[in-house]
Amino acid sequence: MGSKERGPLTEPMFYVLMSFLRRDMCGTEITEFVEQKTRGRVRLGPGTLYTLLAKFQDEGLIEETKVDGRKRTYRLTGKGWAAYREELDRLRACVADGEEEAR
Amino acid sequence: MSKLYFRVTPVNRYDIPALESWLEDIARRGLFLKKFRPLFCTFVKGTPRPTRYRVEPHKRILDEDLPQSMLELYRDFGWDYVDEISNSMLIFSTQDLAAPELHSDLELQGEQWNKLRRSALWSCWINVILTLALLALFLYAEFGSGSPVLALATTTAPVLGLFALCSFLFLLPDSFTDLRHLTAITRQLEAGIPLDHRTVYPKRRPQTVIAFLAPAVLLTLMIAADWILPLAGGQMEPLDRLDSFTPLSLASLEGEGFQSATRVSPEYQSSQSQVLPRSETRYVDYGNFCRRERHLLCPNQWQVVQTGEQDLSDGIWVRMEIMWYDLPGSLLAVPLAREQLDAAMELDDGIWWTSQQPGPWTTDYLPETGTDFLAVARRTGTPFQAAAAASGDKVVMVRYTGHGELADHLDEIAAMVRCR
Repeated sequence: MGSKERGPLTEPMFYVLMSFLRRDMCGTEITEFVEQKTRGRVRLGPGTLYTLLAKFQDEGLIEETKVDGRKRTYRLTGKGWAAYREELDRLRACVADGEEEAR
Repeated sequence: MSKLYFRVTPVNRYDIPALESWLEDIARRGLFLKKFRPLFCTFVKGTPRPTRYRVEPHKRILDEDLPQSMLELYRDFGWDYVDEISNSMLIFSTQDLAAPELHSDLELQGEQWNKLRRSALWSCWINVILTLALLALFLYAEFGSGSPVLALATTTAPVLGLFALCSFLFLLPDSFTDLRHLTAITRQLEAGIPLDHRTVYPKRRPQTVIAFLAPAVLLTLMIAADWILPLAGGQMEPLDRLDSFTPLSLASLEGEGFQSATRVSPEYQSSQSQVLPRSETRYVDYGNFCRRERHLLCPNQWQVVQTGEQDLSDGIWVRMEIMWYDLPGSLLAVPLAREQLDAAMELDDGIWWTSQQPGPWTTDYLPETGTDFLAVARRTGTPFQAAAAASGDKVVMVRYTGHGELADHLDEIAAMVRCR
């Protein structure tokens, strides 16, 4: 389960958090990562990405690390990592429940 | 500088699919949005090309800067910022067919529009309160003095009434339309249905022009009524400056032996007499003067005051006040005359001096005098008399205390309103 205030993460939210696990990233890199990871199934538009980055920054899940001209780079915070793990556990539980019932 | 082209905005700013469709159609004809305004938009000419326009909610407070990080991110994805709508939305455009749609998370997009919807809901409430305040202000201006017809003719009450009406007809419906569009967008996104970017839209919206022009016209009228017209008169002047009608004379009412009282401020007199001999001084006699005022619905209003020397033997203060109104039409004339007569009969209770227990007022209505209305009233046991007359668009009201009888001077009273 996501935090009580936030609720379960939407698919774009989950993948954006996932994109920061290995390294800091800027906007276009996040989009490329998500598109590659989902094999084109999830495409992030700039509106969604901007809103998500602003929302995650407000909630303290990510923080800006570098501004180089128009390029802004972000990284995951401890709180963001915990939120990602929490969502991962929720999804695992969902999958486990689903498979158990399907047997 | 490229030539600018103007087009009337045919859609509501919050009818997003209609707005985007209209901008895209105009772009196909080679006109590209430069500046958005709710009434008319400005375009520049270019090569006709398929262009996608998208409107994004973004509430900006007063002089807060545009969100540069947002504009830069959008540009990285092929979307250029075009203009802002009423500090609450941003317009982006792209001619890049490969540029991704702005949103892929409908829930998140719905949250953004919902913020704007909540703000529109507040605006609705503020407009309801504003309209009710305008209505209350109008009712107070119109009925607060107890003389609604006079208030209508000589105060800003009618302009306030029009403001309230304008608010009811345009401001409130406009607010509700904004809220309806934003609610529809929010609900659609909450239901997981992507926004439409293509729809039919009206060719024109004439009510918008009226809604924008009406407050400007009313504001001009308000300024004229409150600040410009009062400058065109209001000061006391000698009786010979009266040029709109011949007033009933206090001398004719009082008869032989009448002496007009000259009441000049001593300070004024001494200051003037040092410069000019008294005979050449143009002084203001505050016992005998006339005063002109101008109002929106009464372009010519005269107050004429005449005073006689007080006869201490009978203790009667000889005084006459005439209020004369030139209205733009005859509709309000008779109601104003009736109202002013009623008001005159109430006045002496509060402010006029009386030497004995006053009796009731008796009023004689005299329809045969060739006027639309003529009535004379007298209070038994007192020297107080009043008369009111109306003919066409002219109204006169006379208040008199003295030894004569207004009823003996009906022709002179009627003549004051028969003049053209």
